[in-house]
Amino acid sequence: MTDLDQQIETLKQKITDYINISKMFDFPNKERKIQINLMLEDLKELMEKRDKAK
Amino acid sequence: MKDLKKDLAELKKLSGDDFTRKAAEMKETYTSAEEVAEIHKFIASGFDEIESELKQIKEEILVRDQLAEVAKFVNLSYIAENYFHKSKTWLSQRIHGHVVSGKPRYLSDKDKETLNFALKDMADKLSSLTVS
Repeated sequence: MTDLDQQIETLKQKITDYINISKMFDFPNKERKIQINLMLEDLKELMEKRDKAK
Repeated sequence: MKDLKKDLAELKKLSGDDFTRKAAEMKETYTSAEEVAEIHKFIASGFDEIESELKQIKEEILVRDQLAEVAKFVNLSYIAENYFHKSKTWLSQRIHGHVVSGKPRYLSDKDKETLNFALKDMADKLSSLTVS
């Protein structure tokens, strides 16, 4: 696993963790929805770049 | 005795199942409006942190892609030694965001300035050269 793979996997896990805790504590996701969606798009883009590089 | 700050600091270090388990424990312990508000702040700052980490990785990939083309004909050892006074490994680690001592290492803004100066300086030297 390359360093980029590791960083992407760490971020994927972190996003999952924070989405989970948001649900647990009724965090008002509505306000954060745009930010979260943009982050997920960024992550998708990074993963595509990584897969293309392989 | 419950200590929200301490528990949040511990939670921050965890990930995956451990993170979820700790968060679930905290849900049972911290139920007042003030405590939940503090946890919401923690979550918001977590999302901000993720956003900034993603941004940093994206920027670094951009730098790496920009340099990939140049690296075919520019000697990175020369740049590392003459402009950074460091080894080629040091420069390569930063260009590729390699993990050193558990942390990914990137070019700092100052390093990027130095690199841009190096590329421009080398370009100037090349463009002023005419073989007679």
